[in-house]
Amino acid sequence: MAMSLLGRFAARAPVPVFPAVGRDGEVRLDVLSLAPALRVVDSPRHASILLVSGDIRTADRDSLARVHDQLAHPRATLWWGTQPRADTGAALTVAAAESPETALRDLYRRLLTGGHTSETHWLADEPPNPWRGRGDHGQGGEGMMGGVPYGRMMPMPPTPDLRDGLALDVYTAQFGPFLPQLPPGLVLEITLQGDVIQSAAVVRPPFLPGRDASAPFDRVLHEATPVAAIERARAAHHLRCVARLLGILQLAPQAARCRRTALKIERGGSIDLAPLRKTLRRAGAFAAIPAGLGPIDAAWAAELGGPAARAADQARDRRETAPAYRNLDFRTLCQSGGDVRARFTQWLDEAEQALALARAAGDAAIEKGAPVETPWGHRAPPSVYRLTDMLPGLEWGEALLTIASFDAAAVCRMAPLGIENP
Amino acid sequence: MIELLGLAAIGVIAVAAGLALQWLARADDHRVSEPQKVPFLGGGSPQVHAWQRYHVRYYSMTLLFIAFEMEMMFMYPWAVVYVAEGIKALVEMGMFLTILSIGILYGWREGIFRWQ
Amino acid sequence: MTLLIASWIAVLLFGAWCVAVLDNLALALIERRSAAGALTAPLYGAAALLRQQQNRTEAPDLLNWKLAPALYLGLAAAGVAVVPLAPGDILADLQAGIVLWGAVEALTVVVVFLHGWSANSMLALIGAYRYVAIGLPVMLLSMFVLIAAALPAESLAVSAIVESQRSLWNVVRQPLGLPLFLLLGLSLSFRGPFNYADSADLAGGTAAEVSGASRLLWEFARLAMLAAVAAMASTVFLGGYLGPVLPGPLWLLLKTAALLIVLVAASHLFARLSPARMLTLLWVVLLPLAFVDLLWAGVVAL
Repeated sequence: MAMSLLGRFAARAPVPVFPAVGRDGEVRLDVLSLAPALRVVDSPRHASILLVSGDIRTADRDSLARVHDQLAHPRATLWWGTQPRADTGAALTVAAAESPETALRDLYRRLLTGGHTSETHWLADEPPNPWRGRGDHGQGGEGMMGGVPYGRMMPMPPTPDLRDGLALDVYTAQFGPFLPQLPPGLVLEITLQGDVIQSAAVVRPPFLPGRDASAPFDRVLHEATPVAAIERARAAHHLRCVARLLGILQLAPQAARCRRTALKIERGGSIDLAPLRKTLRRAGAFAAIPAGLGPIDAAWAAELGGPAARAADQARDRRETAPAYRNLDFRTLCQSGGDVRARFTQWLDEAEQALALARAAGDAAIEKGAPVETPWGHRAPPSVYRLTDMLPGLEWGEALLTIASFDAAAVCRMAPLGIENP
Repeated sequence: MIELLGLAAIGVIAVAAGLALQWLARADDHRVSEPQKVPFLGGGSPQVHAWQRYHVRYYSMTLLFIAFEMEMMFMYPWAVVYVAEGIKALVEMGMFLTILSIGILYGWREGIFRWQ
Repeated sequence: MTLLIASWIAVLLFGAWCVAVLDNLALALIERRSAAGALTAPLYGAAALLRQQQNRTEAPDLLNWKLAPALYLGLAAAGVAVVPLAPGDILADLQAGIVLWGAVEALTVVVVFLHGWSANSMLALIGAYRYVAIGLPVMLLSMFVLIAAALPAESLAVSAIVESQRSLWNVVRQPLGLPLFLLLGLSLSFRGPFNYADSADLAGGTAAEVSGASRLLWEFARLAMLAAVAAMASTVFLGGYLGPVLPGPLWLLLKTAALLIVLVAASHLFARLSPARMLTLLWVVLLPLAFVDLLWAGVVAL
């Protein structure tokens, strides 16, 4: 009785959802995360529902199973715009075009009131590394650490630290592809000493900008497209990038406001970004990013292109010469720093500029097949500059800030597969 | 004395309530499966244990901290007699703090507040 | 006595609920969305955590893992116990109440570290070590401003500090004290700009591996700890139960609520610095400010 009452109470809480983002799944998750009835959480331990958004690569299936098994009971999985795993009998699916909000609510209620059985584990129920210790607590081993308390190895042989040369233990593990603060799909093998990154290698690259984000720009290939639509899409994209960075600065509500603004812009609302910018400045978002963090030089910037290049003072923008922009008084915006703070500022500047252009454009259109400036840099080929070269020596939070300061296309090109990994 | 006993009782009640909550809620729990126990790394699996000789990058700051923490012990009795002792107490503590402040400046110059 | 114990429990439970509601309101205000359900959401959320399974990790230090949230709550409870509700109405009228509060601060650093350490998980461990770096200097500066408040009272008892404010509140006499002490509130419950323990970049930090009732207890203790700091700050700097017309406990309640609003707003309005920069800021700027506060208080008290 008491339990069912508690269950009914619990079912009225915001649905705690852990997102596993696959290909094309990011933008729609950003939109969904604004629903008041949901709470998108950072750890599967805090979630009751695993929301698989977008297609999961074959290589990521084990990681997905691992994250699924890390959710606390009662738990369930909802597949949004993707095929469920073959071995999960009656899987719940929602089409990509629909919002899963009501399905999530309903699933959560049934989960808590006993209408839906909690899912069992997908991986084998055995220790990933068998017990190798001796004695009750595994204390009977050899060496200065006194044995192997659990099947995992003891720390690697000490190596001199990058910053001060002290030889201490290192911790090596694969992070991602579902770590919320890394770009979706990116798997890094990171070696840490304390909280400072000693070395990093790409195991699997992140996803290129998804269908939702690139659709307005791909449209130009097939038909004439209004400048206003292109510029709105650009502003929305940049604001979502800003939101990702704000999350790492511990500014979750401001990040949500950016996402909400992005959605309003996509839906055609007329938005002034000045108040948002003022809020961010007062929050110290600019000052909290260390000066000179994650710098790129001119050659590097030229190779990446897009806002990252313009943030490093490379005034290159296709809109300068595009006929559709001729009467719009377009002026390429640049920053001089080339660091994380400059890229952050550049996104905000360009979003503001894009909205001004969208207002001024009227019904001007870009003709079919004309070159269009996308909100990210060049998409190919793999760059000779490596994301993994930037990370060693950075503290964990600074490293995440650095990665989040690049758009998906840039991260993709700087994190190609199988080159660092022999 | 009676106050200390009361305070101890308060602490024990709160801690006991906390432990009891975790104990009672355990009743209808599922068994924790082996794959569920793997530390969360966003889908990855660690090769080694997290417990290790962790590189505490602010260790030199903790030495400075100890100097100030010891000073705090002198400040408690000093605060009680301060008004009675008057200007003498002010000057004495001022000298003490000045010496320690030089320690902060020296540490800052040596970079002990950086993540080295 | 029964009334005192009842009000002590009420401060913890009601205080934590108030902070959670204020959090919801602040988030809604900043995100520019409606704040519907802000009053009930904490209760439903607590029920949801009670229905969730409690997690374990590979080879954790289970004893300390279960003990840490309970101890944290115990510390918040002990902190509230030294706050006088009215003249003579104090659960633990210690001669050295300020020293006890200092012990609460120091042990909080230990407990938070234990919570992150015992899971045997890297993200939680980073949160634990990081918290110690920031928790230690914040504790120092809060003790300096508390001692400054003890100077005019000529006593370390919290009740004596309240009585010493009959003529003038400490917030006027020592204007630097209150803002510096409020920083302690953010640090003790690791919120917003001082969230180095359970931060988003560590997927929840020390709580990243915790679920169910253990997590409910941990989050509840965080909220209760913030309420305890606000109650202590209003007692030491805003004259506690002193005030005209209204009864003493009501004054204390009003002042505590006002400080909670400030604390909750500050925890959602400011970005977090990287740990090394925060450490420098604390030692090089804020700690010297605490010295100035002490000097200021000393000169005024003579």
